[in-house]
Amino acid sequence: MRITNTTIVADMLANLARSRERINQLNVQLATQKRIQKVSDDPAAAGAVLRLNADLARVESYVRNVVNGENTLKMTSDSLGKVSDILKDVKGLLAGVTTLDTSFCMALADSMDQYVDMAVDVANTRFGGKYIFGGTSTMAPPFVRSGVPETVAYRGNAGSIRFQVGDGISSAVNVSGAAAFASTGKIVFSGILDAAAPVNTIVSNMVSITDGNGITHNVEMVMRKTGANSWSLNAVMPGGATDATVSGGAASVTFDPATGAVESIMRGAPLIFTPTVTPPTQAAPAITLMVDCAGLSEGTPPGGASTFSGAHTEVSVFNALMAVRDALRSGTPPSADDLAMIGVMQNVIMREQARAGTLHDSLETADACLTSQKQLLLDLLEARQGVDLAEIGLKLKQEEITLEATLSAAAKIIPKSLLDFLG
Amino acid sequence: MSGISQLLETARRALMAQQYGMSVTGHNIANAGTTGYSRQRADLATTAPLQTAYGFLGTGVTVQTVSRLRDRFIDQQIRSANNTLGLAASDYRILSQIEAIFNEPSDASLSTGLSQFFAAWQDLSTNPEDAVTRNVVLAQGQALTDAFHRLSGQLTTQRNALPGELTERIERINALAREISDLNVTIGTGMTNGQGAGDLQDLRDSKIAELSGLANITVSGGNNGAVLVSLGGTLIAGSGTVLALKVTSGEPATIAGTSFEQLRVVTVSGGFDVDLHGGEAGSILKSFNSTLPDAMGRLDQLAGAIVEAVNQQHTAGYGRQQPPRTGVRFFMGTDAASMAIDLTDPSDAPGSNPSIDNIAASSSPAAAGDNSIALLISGILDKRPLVTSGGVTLLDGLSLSEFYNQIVTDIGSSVNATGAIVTSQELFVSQLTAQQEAIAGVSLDEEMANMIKFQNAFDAAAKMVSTVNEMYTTILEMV
Repeated sequence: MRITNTTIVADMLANLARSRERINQLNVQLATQKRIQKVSDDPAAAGAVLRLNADLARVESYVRNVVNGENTLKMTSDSLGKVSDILKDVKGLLAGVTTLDTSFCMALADSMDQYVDMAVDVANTRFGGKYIFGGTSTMAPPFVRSGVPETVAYRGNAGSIRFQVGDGISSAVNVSGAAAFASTGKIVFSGILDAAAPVNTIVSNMVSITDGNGITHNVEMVMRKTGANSWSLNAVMPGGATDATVSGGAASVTFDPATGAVESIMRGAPLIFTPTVTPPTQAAPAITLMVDCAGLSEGTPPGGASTFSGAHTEVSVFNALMAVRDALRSGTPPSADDLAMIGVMQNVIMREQARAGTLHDSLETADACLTSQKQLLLDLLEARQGVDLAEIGLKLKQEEITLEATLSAAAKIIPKSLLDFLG
Repeated sequence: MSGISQLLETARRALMAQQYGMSVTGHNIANAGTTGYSRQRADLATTAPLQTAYGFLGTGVTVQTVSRLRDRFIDQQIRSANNTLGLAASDYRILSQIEAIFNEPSDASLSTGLSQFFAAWQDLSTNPEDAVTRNVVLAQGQALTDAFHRLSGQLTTQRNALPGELTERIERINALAREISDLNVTIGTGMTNGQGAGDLQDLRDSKIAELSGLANITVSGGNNGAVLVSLGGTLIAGSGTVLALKVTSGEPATIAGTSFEQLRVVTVSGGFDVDLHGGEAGSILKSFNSTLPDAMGRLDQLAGAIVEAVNQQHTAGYGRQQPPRTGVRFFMGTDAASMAIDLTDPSDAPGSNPSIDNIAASSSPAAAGDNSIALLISGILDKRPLVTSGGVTLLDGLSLSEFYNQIVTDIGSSVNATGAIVTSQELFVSQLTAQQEAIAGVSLDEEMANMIKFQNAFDAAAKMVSTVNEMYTTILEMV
């Protein structure tokens, strides 16, 4: 092939341009620490980078949610612990008090009142500007003392607040005040049982119970004569009912043969009434109920047949404490039933505290998952867009040598022609 | 009959021929750096011999012709490669601009805007009552609409610049066609007179080369050394005849769901469509008519889908107004340019009074802490398929992020592919040019050698004249 001066110059310039372009590309990679500057540098990898960046942003959102949820639950657990401590103190204060003089009575009543204040304050705890025990009603205090006679009403709901902590995974981050403080109550029985009835005689009554979502359910309370002056008490769901389940609630009641009044009552586990949930309806908290048989007696019922009926009363932590306070003011010492009721409430609060702990644990598990997920995404991103500094350095050095060689060769060859050698 | 005077005539012919050869060499050296110049060669030939008693006797040398050394077939290949290169280089330039407008992957891009907007909803889900979190949602919504406006505005600006560019190219094509046609006439006249016109042919070839980079032309040979140039089958330059072209608007076309104005290239007289699909002008026409509308239309679809999907959830939720209201839209508008924040009570003019209290996070009027709407909205980015309330599937069943990534990677892939074509065609053209250069290029070494050759031959011929002169003197002294 005939090589002319123009060919040499054009080839040299093209080679120089290519060499400088490669050097520039390496320089940019070195400066930005990224292999991909534009999508066109590597469309497949850039597509993956876009997806990974979006995934990373989402995981980081979840991590923020988890941290937020963990803090809320920590606060919830601490608050429940405080109420539990208050109940423990109250129980300690009341245990063993049987007879009272008036001034001691009034002093006890005043401290009960303070305990109610403390408990309401704790139940109205705000975290990040939100009332944590109001369910999803977070902007108004959930517990309000008002009225004559004074009561504490729950203004929140049983709603559960869920944070998203993964793709398609959400976790509850609240314990509603309805579950913690207002899911206790009593079933108060009244009636006259036939003292002459044979053993194994059964009397029953439907008791209606309203749950935290305002839905009414029926529970069948059954009494069976087990012997002279003694009856057993049981709770069952009416045949075929699936709207709730019950557990506990068994008791045996003994009546005084002479007066017919309740002589003693042996309670088993408290009656726990759990409404079943049909999603998407939010779960109403389980209701822990104590049976109160003070209104029952044994004798000869008018008309001959036993009469037996029960009614459900909601007794919140605050209302129970206020009832004790009011009794003390009128000079009545706290009854064994009152102390038993406080014990039931303590258990409920501990149960809810355990639930907050479990939720917190599950967030920690989610956190661990998210951390490893984030690391994986960062590794994948690095693999696609990261640069190997050593490799680039070597390549750059190589290109530099090539450039110098090209320039030095060009400098030697281009000026030469036959002209130089013509004498 | 051969005499001394014949010797002198032979020497004279030699002197003239070598001098002519020297002139051609000088012309070559002078044009060693001229673009498009083809090396010329004085073709020397013996003159007609004399018949003598001893046989034929040579009578010297003459310049038969000055030939132009150039391979026409390589020229043809260069033109075709130039055409592909012109198209790809212009495509590459325009697509790179679109790619730069999208600016992916970077922190200042629409993908970041999308992530941040939906992340703000995710944050709102953990704090639906909070004014600060609500402000962030509003600010990110504003940033998202701004990003759409910016993209749409920049793409529109880029597209609006193209008709001017196209007109410029078409005017250049017209001018080149005129010059080629004029050169055809001049070259033809020379040919008729038996004269070669190498330099004029070079000039015409360089015009055709420029034209081949501008449009999809074909070149064929005509009478009398003329070349005929056609653009997409329409003859635009003949020998003394030209057909001028102009840019005009055509029927609007619907691309990616949006109607876009179209351009056509037609002949000035008659207004017949010309099939322009190659070279730089072809690329500009294609970019205006389809490439940019495709990107803009898809961006509009994306914006419309965001507005529809977000509003669908948002209107079902409740804000934190007192009393809480429902039915408030988050966005208004239908495409990338018209998309804006609404967040105004439906009884007021849309967008007239955006308020963070109107941001709906809760599915219930009585539950400020409920976050179900916020969670639903934050999940829209990766939800698929997105379906309108009327049951129409949006974005071909893809999620917002998938659809957007597809737009961006499609553009990136096109840039990548056209970049590869540019590189390979540049290499091809430079190889072809080197091949042509091997034939047509001036080698100074060669010209130097020729110069010495002609000089020596001239010297020798001159010596011959003086020798013949001495011979005359000898003869005259004999008398």
